[in-house]
Amino acid sequence: MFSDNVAIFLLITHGIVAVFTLGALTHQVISLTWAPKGAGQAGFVTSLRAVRAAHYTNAIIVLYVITAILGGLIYVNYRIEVRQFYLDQYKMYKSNGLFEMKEHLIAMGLGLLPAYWYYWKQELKPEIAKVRTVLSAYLAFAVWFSFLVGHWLNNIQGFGK
Amino acid sequence: MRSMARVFPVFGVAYVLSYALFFVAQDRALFSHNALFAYYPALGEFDWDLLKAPLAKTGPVMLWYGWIANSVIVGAVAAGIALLLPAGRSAKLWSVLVWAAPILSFLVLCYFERLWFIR
Repeated sequence: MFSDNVAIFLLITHGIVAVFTLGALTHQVISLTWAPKGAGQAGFVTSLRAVRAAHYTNAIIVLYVITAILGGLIYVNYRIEVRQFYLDQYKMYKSNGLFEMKEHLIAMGLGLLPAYWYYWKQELKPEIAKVRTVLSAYLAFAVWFSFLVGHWLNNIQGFGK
Repeated sequence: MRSMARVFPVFGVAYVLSYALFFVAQDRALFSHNALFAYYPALGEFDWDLLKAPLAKTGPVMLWYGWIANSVIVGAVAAGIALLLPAGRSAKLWSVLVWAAPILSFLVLCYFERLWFIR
């Protein structure tokens, strides 16, 4: 287990890297599912929709892995300080369940990263487009869900209280 | 790397399906302990097997890291086998399984985790 100060530092870093990850994934998914048709006026929303999705791939993989490693490190503190001494004591089963889903989504996302890289590095064909969209959407869902659940739990009981 | 990369979808499918299976097996008590190793955060100890001492002495046990290690091994073995087979024939099948498997695994995990929400 980490000391409170180290755990809080890791938690904040984990949260910041998670924001970068979900930002990159959200851009990628928007450009895949809501790409602009034709040359419209280049406003904020059109620019958001027109990003080059493939350029985000390597950054997403690196950010996802860093976020997962940081989360895996502070999980030890969470298991004792938050879950055992607070959520379990007060029988907050729904919050426990949400965290369980978060850990499953992130663990499965880790295993999908090599395939995600493989399909994004391939030449685009119609059958590949669907795989790219679903894998990116899965990762985006996993990161958004985990980010929101992490915030929720931190609001219930953070480290060092 | 390029020739090896063709089996990345196989790794992903085997990893994701086995992750859900290990969790379900644990949940259903099919095995007393099926993670590659267990971690005891209160003791700061990794152990290959569950400790016999009562939880009051050891503190909680974490199997998540061990399940990930299990799934990496299963994925690597499946990818290794796929690497020995000729390329190309099954590519289309894996391109479907690679997105269907995580959705299926997620639904299975949701079903088994539902007990947290209906207590």
